[in-house]
Amino acid sequence: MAKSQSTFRKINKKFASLKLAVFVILAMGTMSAWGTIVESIYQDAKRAQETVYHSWYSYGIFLLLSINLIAVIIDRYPWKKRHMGFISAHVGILILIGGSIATRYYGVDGSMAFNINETRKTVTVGQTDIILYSGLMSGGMRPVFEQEVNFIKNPPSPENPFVVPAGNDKIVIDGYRPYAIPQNKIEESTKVTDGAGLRFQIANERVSESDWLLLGKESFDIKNMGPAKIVLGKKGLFKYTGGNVLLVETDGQSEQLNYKVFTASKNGMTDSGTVKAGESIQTGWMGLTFRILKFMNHAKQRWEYEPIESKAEGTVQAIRFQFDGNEYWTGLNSSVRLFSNDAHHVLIYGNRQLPLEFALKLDEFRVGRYQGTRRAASYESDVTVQDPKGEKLSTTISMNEPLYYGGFTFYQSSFQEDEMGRPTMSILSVNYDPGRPFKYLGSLMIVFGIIHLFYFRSKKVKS
Amino acid sequence: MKKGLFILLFLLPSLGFAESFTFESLPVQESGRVKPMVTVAQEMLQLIHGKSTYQKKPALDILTTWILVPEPWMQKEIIKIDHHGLKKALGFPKDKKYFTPEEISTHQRLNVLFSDLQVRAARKEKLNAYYQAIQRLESQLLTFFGISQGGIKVFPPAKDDESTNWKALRELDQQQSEAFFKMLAAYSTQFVSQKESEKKTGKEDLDAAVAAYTAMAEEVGGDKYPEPEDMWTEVHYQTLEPFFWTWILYLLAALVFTFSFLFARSLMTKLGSAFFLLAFGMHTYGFALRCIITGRPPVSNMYETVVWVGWGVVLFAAIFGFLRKKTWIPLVGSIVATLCMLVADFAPVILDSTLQPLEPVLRSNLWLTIHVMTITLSYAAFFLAFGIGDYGLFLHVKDRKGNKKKIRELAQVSYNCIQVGVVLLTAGTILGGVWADYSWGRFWGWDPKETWAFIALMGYLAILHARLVGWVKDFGMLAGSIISFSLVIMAWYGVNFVLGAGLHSYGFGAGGMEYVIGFVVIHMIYVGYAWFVEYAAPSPQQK
Repeated sequence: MAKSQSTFRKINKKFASLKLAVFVILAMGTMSAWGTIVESIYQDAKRAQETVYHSWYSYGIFLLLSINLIAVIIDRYPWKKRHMGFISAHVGILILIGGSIATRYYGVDGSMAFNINETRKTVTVGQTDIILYSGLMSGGMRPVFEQEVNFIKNPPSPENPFVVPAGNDKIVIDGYRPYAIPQNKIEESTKVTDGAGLRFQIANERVSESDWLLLGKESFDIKNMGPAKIVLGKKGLFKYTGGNVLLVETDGQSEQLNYKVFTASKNGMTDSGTVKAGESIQTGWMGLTFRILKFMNHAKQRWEYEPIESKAEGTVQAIRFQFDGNEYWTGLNSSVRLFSNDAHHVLIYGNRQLPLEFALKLDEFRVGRYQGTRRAASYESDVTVQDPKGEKLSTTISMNEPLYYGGFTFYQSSFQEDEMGRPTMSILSVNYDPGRPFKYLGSLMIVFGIIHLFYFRSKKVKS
Repeated sequence: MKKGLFILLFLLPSLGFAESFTFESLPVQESGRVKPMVTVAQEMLQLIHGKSTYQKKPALDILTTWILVPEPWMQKEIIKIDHHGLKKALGFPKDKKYFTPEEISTHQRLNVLFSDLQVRAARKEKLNAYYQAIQRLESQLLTFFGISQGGIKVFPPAKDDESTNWKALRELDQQQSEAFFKMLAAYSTQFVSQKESEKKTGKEDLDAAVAAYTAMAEEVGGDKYPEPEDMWTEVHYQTLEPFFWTWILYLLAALVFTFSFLFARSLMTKLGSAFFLLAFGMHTYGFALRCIITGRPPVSNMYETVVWVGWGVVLFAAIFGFLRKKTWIPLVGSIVATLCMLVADFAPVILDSTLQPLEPVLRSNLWLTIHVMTITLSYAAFFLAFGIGDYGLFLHVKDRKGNKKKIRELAQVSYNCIQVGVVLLTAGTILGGVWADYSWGRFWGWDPKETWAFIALMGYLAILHARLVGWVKDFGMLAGSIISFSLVIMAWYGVNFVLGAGLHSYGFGAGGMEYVIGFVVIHMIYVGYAWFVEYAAPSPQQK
C-alpha cells in the first residue's frame, strides 16, 4: 500500500513539476499571441477563435495545464494553513477552466436584430448549418437534410468536398471564400422563359441615379425613385392608378419599346412613343431625363462573390457547389433554389436560429448624441416580452442595463441607421451562460490566492 | 506640512473666483462638447500645424487673425504633412514639412486621394498609415476652411429650443455678429499694439466687449450657456500646462539624485526628494484638473494612460523607496516618469492630448475606472521593474563582482514590483472580464487587448515560476523584467497602434511605431550584451 502510494506520488511529481508549469505558461502565451496575429491579418475575431483559441493544440495546452494544476495540488497534500494562498490560486484556475467549458458547450452566445415594431422569437447563434428542403414539382417542400458545418475550421475544397444528398442527385459543396463581397450581376439569358431586363438612368442637373428593372417570370417590375415610379412591363398588363409613372412596355422580341408617361398633376398620360437602348425621354417632371442604358429581351440575375483578403464591412462567407452539371455560388444566410427534372430544392447555408419560448417585440429605439454632432453617446431599445406562460412585460434595454428574462440576458450591443442618421435597426446580443458562477468564484479565488501567496512569501523572506 | 501648503497653493486658482468670462474662457462648441476659446485655438493649431504655437505666437492670436482676415493665411506655410508617401503622392518635396492651404486645396490629385479614402472608409477597412495621413489632411483642411468661413460655433441655441446644436459665427444675426467681431478687434489690438497705454485701454475695451457678448448669449441660451467657472478650470489647465512642468521637475529630481549619489551628500538627497515630491504634486494636480474638466477619471486614451502610468511609477517608487530607505528607487522612478511625461508632452500627433467625449461603451464610469486603472497601474509597476532592470544591468556590466550586493537588492525590489504588478494585472484582467460580462454579455472573448494583457501576465508568471525552480537568479530577474516589459508595450501600445483589431477600437491610433520598436530593440541588444558579459566574457577580477 505504502509502496503503491509512493509510486503514485512519484508519477504525480513528474506532472506537478514547476518546469512543466513554466513550459505550459510560455505555451499559453505563444498560442495567444499567434491568435491575435491571425485576427489582425484577417480582421476577423471569429477566425482566430476557431483556428487558434479553439484548436486542438490550444485544448492540448489547457489539458496539460489542468493536469499540472491537479498534480501540484495533490503533491502538496496533506495541506497546511500556509498552503492556503497557493491552493486557492491554483484551484481557482481549475474552476475558471471548468466555467469556460460550461460556457462553451452549454451556453448560448447569439444576437437578435430587429426593426422597430418587429417581433422576434429566435436568437441567431454563431454555429452554421447546411439545410436542404426538397419537394416534387407539384407538392410542398420539407427538410430532408440538416447538419452543422464549420467551414472556417474545415473549408470545403475539390479534394475535401461536403456532399449533400438531394433525392437521386447530390449537391457537392467544393469551394469556400471566407471574405467575399456579394455583387448582383444581371446578364443575357439563353432561356426564353426569362423576362426582359432594362438598365436606366434618371437625371437632372442635381441628381443622377441608375438602376435595373428585371421582369424574371413576373408581368412587370416597379422601381420607386422618390418623386416617380419607373415600370417595366409586358405589353398591356400594367394599369395606371395614379402618381408620376413612366411605363416601358416590351413585347418580348423587339428592341423597340413603347413608353408612356403619366403625370400626377395632369391625372393621366402626358406623353407616349417608342424608345430603344441609348435613347432618352424628357419626362417633364422637374427637368428629369430618362435614359435607357441597356436592354435585354431575356435577362437573368446572378450573384457573384468577389473574394478579398480580409474581413471588412459588407463581406460574407460564400460557398461554391455543383449540382446537375452547373456551378453555383451562395453567401452565408441566403438560400438558393435549384431545379432538376422531377424535383426542386432549396439549399441554405446559414447561422442557426435558436427558438426561444417567448417572443420579443421592439417598440421604440432611441439614439442620444453628443451635442452638436452625430456621434452616438448612448442608445436604448424599448421592448415588450410576449410570453404565453408569463405576464406581458415592457422594459427598456440600454448600454449597461440589460434585460434578464427566461435565463437569458439581452444586452444593447449596436444599431444600424440610414443615410439620414435615423436608426433603422436595433441589435441586441443574447446570452445564456451557465459557467458564470464558476468564473466569478474562480476569479475571486485566484486574486485572493495570489495576494495571500505573495504576502506569505514576503513574510517568509523577512523572517 | 510643506507638501500640504504647496497643494493648497495650487488648488487656489481652480477654486477660482471667476465671476465673468474672459476672451480666453469664451465658450465654444466643438467635437461634441463646450470648451473655452483658448482650448479650441490650441487644438486646432495642434491639428493643422502640429504645434500649439505658430512662429512663437500663441494659438489664440493665430485663431483671432484667422477669423478676422482669413485671406493671407491661404499663402502661409502652416499645414503640416509628415507622411512621406503622402508628400510623394502630392508631388511635394520630401524634406519640406509645412505647406500652404492654397497649394494643397487647389491640388489636382486631392480629390482622387479623398475619394480613395472614402471607398475604404465606407467599407470600414482598417486604414494603413498612408490613408490615416490622408484622413488627417482632410480634417486639417476641413478645420482650416471651417474657421476661415466662420464655422466656429460660438452662440448657444435658444433655451426652449430642443436642439443642442450651437450656432456658427456665420449664422449669427447682425447684432450678435457685430458683438463678436468687436471682441476679436479688441483682442487683436492687444497683441498688435506696442504701446503700454494702448494695451491698457485695449484690455478695458476687450473686457467690455466680452461682457456685452456673453450677456447676449446668456439671455438667449439660459442654462445652455455655461457658467464662467465651468470654463475657468479648463483655461487654467491649458495655461498652466501642468504636465510640461511635471517632466521638468522629474528631470531635476533625477539629476539631483544622481549628484547626491556621486558625492553622497545628504543635502542633495533632501533637495532631490523635494523636487521629486513637487513633481509628484504637480502631476497629481494636473491629473485632478483633467478629472474635474471631463467629469471622469482620465484613462480613456493613450495619452491619458501614459500620464497615469507615469504617476503610478512614481507612486510605487515612493512607496518602495520609503520602505527600504534607499535613494536609488526614487531616482529610477523619476527617470522612468520623466520618460513617460516627455513622451506625453512631445508626441501630440501620436498621443492625442485633447479632451474628448467618451464612446457609448465607455460611459459606465465605475467599471471603466476600476478595470482600466487597475491594469494600467500594473503597467506602472512593471515599468518601474523595467527601470530597475536597466539600472541593474548597468551595474552588472560595469562591475558585477563589486556590485554583487547592490545587484541582489535591485533584483529583490524588481521582484517585489513584479509581484505587485502581477496582482494588479490579474485583478484588472478579471475586472475587465466582469465589465465585458456586464456590458457585452461575455466574460472572456479573446479580444486582442484582453488577450495581450493575458500574454503579458503569462510572461511575468513564467519569470516568477522560473525563479522558484532556480532557472532565474538575480541577473535573470533583472533581464527578465526588461524582456517581459516588451509584452506590456505590446498590450499597451501595440494592440491599438500595430494590430488595430478588436473591440477596444475606441483607443486606436497610429504612428510612432519606429520609435517604440527602436526602444524595444535597443533594450534587447542591451540585455544580450549584459548576458554576454555574464556568461561569455571572463570577469576582470578573474584575470
